[in-house]
Amino acid sequence: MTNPLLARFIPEARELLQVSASGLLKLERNPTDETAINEVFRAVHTIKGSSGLFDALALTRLVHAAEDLLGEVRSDALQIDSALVDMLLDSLDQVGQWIDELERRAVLPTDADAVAHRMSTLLRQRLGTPDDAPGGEPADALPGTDPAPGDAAATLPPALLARLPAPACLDAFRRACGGETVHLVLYAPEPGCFFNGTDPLQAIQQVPGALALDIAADQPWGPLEDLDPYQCNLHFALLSTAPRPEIEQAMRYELDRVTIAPVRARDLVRIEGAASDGPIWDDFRAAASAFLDAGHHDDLRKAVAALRSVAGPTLWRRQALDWLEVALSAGEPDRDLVAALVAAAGTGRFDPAPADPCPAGEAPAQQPASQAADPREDLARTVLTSQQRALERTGYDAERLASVGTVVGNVLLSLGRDAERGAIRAALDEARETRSVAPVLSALSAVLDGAPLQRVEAAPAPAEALPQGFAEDAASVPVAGKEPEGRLAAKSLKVDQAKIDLLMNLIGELVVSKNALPFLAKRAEETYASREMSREIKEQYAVIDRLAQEMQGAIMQVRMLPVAEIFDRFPRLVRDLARKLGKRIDLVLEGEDTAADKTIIEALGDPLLHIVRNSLDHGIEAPEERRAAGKPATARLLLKARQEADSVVIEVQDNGRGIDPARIRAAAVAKGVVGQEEADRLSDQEAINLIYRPGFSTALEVSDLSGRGVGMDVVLTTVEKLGGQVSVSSRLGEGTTTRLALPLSMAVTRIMIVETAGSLYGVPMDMIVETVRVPRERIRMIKKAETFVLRETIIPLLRLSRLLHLPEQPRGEADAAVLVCHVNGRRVGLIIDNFREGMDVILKPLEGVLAGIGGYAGTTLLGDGRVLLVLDLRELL
Amino acid sequence: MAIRIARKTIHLEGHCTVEEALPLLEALRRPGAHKVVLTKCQGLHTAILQVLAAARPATLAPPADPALAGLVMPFLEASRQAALQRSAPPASGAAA
Repeated sequence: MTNPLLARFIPEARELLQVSASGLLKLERNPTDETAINEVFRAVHTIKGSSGLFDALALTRLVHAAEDLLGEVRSDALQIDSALVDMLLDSLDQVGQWIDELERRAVLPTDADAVAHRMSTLLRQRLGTPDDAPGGEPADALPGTDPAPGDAAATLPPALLARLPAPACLDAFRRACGGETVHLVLYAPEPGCFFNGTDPLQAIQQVPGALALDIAADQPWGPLEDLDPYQCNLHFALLSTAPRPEIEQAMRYELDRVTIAPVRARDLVRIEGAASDGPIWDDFRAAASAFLDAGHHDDLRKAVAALRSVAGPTLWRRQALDWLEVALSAGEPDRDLVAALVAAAGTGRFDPAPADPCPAGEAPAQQPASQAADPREDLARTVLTSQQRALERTGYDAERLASVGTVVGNVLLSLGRDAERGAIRAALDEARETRSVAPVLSALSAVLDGAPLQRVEAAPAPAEALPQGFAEDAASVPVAGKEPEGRLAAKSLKVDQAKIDLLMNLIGELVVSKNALPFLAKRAEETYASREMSREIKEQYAVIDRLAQEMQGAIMQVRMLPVAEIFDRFPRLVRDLARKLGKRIDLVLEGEDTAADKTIIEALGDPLLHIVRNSLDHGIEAPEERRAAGKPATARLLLKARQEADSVVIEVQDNGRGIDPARIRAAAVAKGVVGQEEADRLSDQEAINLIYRPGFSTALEVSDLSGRGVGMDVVLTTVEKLGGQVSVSSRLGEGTTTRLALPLSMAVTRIMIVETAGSLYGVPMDMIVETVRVPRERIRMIKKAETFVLRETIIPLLRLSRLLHLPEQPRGEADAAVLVCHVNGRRVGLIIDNFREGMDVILKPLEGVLAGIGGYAGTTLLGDGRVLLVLDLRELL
Repeated sequence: MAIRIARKTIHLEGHCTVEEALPLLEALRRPGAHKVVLTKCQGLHTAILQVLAAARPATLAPPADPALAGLVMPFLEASRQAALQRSAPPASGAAA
């Protein structure tokens, strides 16, 4: 990937998707969870914002749709339910797939646009349905204002239409009639946008298909002395024939400040000209209405053409005919529109708002409805009343008065009631002068008694449009009870893993070079006979040793990840599978904070997945079956992580039907995993362990969940490769617990150095059970195999030199050095020549041409520079 | 510099960036009737545009570039008219 921004975006987006998915699941359980919805909203919003930087328009659109939906949920306009969560999760999955695609090829798949369109349409269908405009997509909400479902079709600023030259206007109308959508782009730049390099005028000029642009001042211009040239006080309205995605693409850096809405054809009608009168118009009106009622568009067209040819082109009514002709030229003429234009030509007056359930030209008509539902109204009333009471009680107090002023100001600000705010401020000034609360009290009661506290929709972003001082106050006092948007930047660093690995390697080398110091001390003493020098070297060695160990520990910590990394995917997985299987499962996660090395955590994902799937598929019963067995219908699945000494233990525990050893035996014999005789000899626990054998499966048929007979075998091999252990315990009818124990860190391996056939080898310490010296006479031959008895157990003996095909050098010692190891669940004694010291090493795997050689876990360097081969006993035996 | 001030006449030429907004504003703040010549102007930053709209210079020569003129002049004319009529908000202030 060449784009560094994209490289940073991809992991970030994945993380945010994870956050949103888990937040959605929380929401599904508890739809009123405000923290969860805010979290999800924020995450989705961030993805949308960052994705705008890349050529991934489809992704941005889909996320945008999801964000709109979440915005509705957040403002309580929409109830969240399972179907909605499903839809959102599907969309997020799709986004996740696209992100994978972006990572691989840096572009979205070719069908992305279609997919995004389909999914976002689905999502938007859930948005405020009754208000859905004929134009289709509802408008985006500006941040800071509540997403009001009412403003679906755009209200054209009159100045904009007047600015449009008549032919362009007619052209836009023709396009709108012909089924193309003409969009109104409202752009309210952030006041401080000049400081981040945005030039709103230039930005809006980038929008393709522009027909007309209207610029207007947000706030009336004050005296020139007070003008701050660096605060943007302009907003823009643009009419564009470009499709919505292209507009979004052009405005992608400012999407959150832009509202794009389709304009209805009839709002584009602009008729000018001299008035005229005459019977011909009345005749036309009668005839045209008849044609229209009968649906004879062709006849109507002819009538229009005939009249146009005789009427003077400057006449108002003649122009109405022009519009009518355009409206009729569409394949499917809009009947209402045609009727309105016919009436216009007939009467000399155009009524742009005919009987229509949603008159877009008259957006204010919808206002009372949205206001009545505005919960802020009540809240504001409560706040104001309490302030009034507080003032009455305390009387005049300069400080209190100031704070009351701030609160009241902010409440009014949030409601967009600037006039009242001015009144209150004036009253406050007066109160300060007269040292009495009376003016403020009367102003307050005027506000409370006055018209309902309405939110006036005129200013798109009232908070930003206000003088700096008040805006700051507004930010510091959360008026409407919503938590502040901003999230503190996390004090963490994202570092490429390769860099950490490099650091790790360097420290490894430091450890190795440090190990050379004792050799040096020895030489100083033996060769140069300087005991003093040797002691000093040893002292220095102790210091360096301590520092190196601390550094190693610190780097280890960096590589540690919490188990939550893998646990987090399970709520979603379990929910989906449970719904699919018709089971009811309560997933409980415990100890998500337990940390272990990144490699371990990452490698654990797949095994855990298999275990959980197994539990869901085989372990947990259907609700009816559970009830019949006297268990609660909802099963419990516990994922628990904890640290035990040097290892991390993960348990997957279900209270399902448990494993039936008899069934396992039968299945194992049927699948040819073991013979009948062997099966009969196994204890119940051993029978249960059969599930780890490759090819084992009890499922009658292969489902898409499990049954291919690879699952548990994969678990065992993966975990053992990581140096861990798996065990299963189960009680029939009560449930199954699978326990995985893994080392906390793989970076440093403790080995023991052994000597055989004149060479040194390392053996991982965790495989060694004990070291014993066995007198020659106690080694017995059973058939051809050497054995010895250790604490009443027969232990088979192997010679390491033979295993490694090294020439044997008979040694005349009276006893053999035996390394008792635990390999593949069995004990075995290795006869070696001599034991040496143990040491911590950083194991480097065999690479290149050596990679194929079996029997070795890797290599490490000894203090004197020699390479030590570390054995992998599992492969060797 | 894209801004050139000759007594009461301010010439804005070429591409006027955000940096020119402050000198322009300072020039326009001086008492008297100002003339702003945009004839050779090829591009305006939004900040320049709003200073011109707020200051309403007595005379305003439109840009020679018809595209730019069509873009900014309607707005600037509207602002000046509003000032002339002495009505509190500019005519287009209620739009959107």
